[in-house]
This record gives sequence, structure tokens and C-alpha cells, in this order.
Amino acid sequence: MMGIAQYTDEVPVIKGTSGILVLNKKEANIPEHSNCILCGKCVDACPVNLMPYKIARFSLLKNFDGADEYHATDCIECGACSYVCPAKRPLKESISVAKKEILTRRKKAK
Amino acid sequence: MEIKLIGSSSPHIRSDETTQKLMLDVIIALIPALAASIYYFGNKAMILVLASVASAVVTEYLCQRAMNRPITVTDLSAVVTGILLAFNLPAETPWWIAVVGAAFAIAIVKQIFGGIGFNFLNPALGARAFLMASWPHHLSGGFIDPAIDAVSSATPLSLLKGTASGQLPSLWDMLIGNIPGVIGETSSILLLAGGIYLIYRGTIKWIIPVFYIGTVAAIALVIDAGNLPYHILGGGLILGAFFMATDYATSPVTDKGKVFYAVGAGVLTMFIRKMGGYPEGVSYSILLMNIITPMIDKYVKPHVFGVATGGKKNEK
Repeated sequence: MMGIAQYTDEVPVIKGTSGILVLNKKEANIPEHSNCILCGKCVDACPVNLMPYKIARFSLLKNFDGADEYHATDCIECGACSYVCPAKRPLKESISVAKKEILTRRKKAK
Repeated sequence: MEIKLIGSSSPHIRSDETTQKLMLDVIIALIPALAASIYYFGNKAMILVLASVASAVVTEYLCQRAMNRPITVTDLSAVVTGILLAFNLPAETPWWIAVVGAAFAIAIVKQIFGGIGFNFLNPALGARAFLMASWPHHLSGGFIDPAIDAVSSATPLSLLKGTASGQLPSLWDMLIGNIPGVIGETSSILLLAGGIYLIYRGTIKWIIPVFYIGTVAAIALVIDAGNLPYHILGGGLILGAFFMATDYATSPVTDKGKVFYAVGAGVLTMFIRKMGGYPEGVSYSILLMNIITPMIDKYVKPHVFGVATGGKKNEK
């Protein structure tokens, strides 16, 4: 579920390749996302007890200090939040963006 | 080889749960109580529900058109709001009040603040408060007693309050819904069945209904033990606890927060019933807790690993 999407079929299979997953049209369909309904399913699903919907919201607003306050960097990128989201929001994607941004800023500050 | 590949971010598979399916579950859970309301109150109940649902859906469509937002009427949330608002009206309410109320619920309480998920109050209850303030004689009179088909009967709670006189109904009548009240609140047992279906489906969690009803029961036991069943079954508590207080956008997301929210609503309900001017306190207590919900969500957070209990991060 959490593998890296390939953009070409000219990628070699190497030692670290644990598997190749081919999805059919229905599974590969990227659903349209709608408003967050605050159902809290992502909060329940998160294995490291974060509040994914809040971090994602901060990330979309480019408020990375806010995302940091909600421990965005502790995210293990398991994708459970995006999986359960009934509004089909790309939560993990937004959190990854925030995480990267926070880590670059920290490096710069040093 | 030429193939078309989509390079998207993981996860690549999504659950098949959608907002629409969640709302459909709520509608299914409301159907038994809806049938009971039509059985007890006849065509009047049906007209109120239809008027309210139609108005809610049309208003949602028009608002989204006017505000250039994607049209999301198909997510069925407006239908849920419409049914719940109609459930909160006495049977003798004129149909146009339901239309105005549903339009207010969707346009003012929901769409102006950003649509689904951003409403600051439960839309149906917000509209009920608005109607209560605008046409109090329609909203607090006009109760029909299904047993004797008489207009303007007193609800069990207004009998308790002493603002009306009459015979308190039997426990069995309250359970099956053979009592005066707003059209959706009377049949406790069917509402309970709907609520249990929602919990079974995972649409709502048990925390809010259990703590809400539990708090009301505990307080009633202490200060008014003799009337305990009337406090639980005689008013809108079951409807409120299972279908209103559990509205996603206006209840806390964390389990701990839900406990605070439900206990607070329970305390306020009994406070209004015993000390306030209204016989019924469920709707206002939920509205008040709706307003506090963002505060609860701000301060009640799940405990993150690797963070000291004081809330400070150990290393940065």
C-alpha cells in the first residue's frame, strides 16, 4: 500500500525490491476529495497518536510552525490516515510536505 | 512498451468508506423513528419531513451555486439535517416553518461558515433555536397527544415542570412513543435501535450517547429520583444523545474530549430542566457544548509518543 509509484516500466528489480504491486483501474483510481467532516477517524487510526487532520490543515495553510506544534515530524508515514478518510483527503501527502519543510528549516537554523 | 502510469503519493489503496455512505447510514438509522412519527402523527409528520428535507437540499444547492463551490448535495448531509430538523418540530407546526428553518440551517449555520465540516453549530439544532426564538407559540405549543388525538397536549417534561397540568404517561407509552412531543423524539425504543445500528456500523462512537444519558440519569437520580424515567424517556434526550450530539463537525474528535463534551451536555441539560425557564434542555445544552467544542479540541489532545506528560518535547 505504501510503495513508491513508478513513472516508467524501465525500472530494474534490485536487491531491495520486496515486491511489485500492479493495481487495476478501479484500485488505481484517485478519488476526488471533499471537505474534512471532522469525524476523527484519522485520529483513531494514527498508530503514533497524532492528529493528522490538524497537521494536514496547517500544512495546506503553509503554517508549518503550527504543524510542528502538533508533532508533524513524529509521523511515520504509514498512510493509515489517508486510507480511512471518508472524505478521501490526501492527509499523508500534506503531512509529508509539512515534515520535509520543518526538517529543512531546522537544518537551516543550526 | 507504451503504458500509462499514474505517479501518485502513497497510500495507493483507499477504504471504500465515503462521506455519502456515512450520511446514508444515519438516514437508515432514522427510518424506524420516522416511521413511528408518521404512525403516531399521520400526514402532518410526513409533510413536515418532506418540506424540511426538500428545503434543505434546495438551499444547499443554491448556496453552493451562488458561492461557486463544488455542488455536494449528493453527500446527503443536507437530507440528514432536514430530517433532524423536522424531528424537532411539534406535529402542528405549519409546513412553511420547516421550510424556513431548513433554509436557515443550511444557509446560515452551514454554508456561510464553509459548508460541511465547518458548521459551528449542529445545523438542525441551530435552526430549531432560531425558530424557537422567532415563532415560540408554534414551537412550544401544538403538541398532539397520539393517544387521544387532542391538540395542544402537554409533554411529559412540561408536566414535570409544572407549567401544564395533566396525567403523566405510563412508562410503556413513553418507550413506544405514544406520548405528546416533537415528531421525532417520542419513540425511544426505535431511536435507540437506530442509535445502536450507528454504533454497530462504526458511524458514531458509544462514548457521547452513553456519557450524556449516563450523566443525566446520575443527576436525576440524585435530585429527582422519582421522575428518573421521565427525564430519560420523556423528552428529546435519546434523539439528542444519539443523533444530534454526535454530529462530527460539532463534537470533539478525541475520545477524552468526547467524554468532557457529553458530561458537560448532560449537566447543562439537567440544569436547564430544573432551573431554567424551558421544560426541555437537550437542544440548548448541545448547542452550548457545540460552541465549546473547538476549545476542547484545542486542549484535549492524544498523548504523542516521546513527549513528556507535561506536554513539552524532550529534545528538539
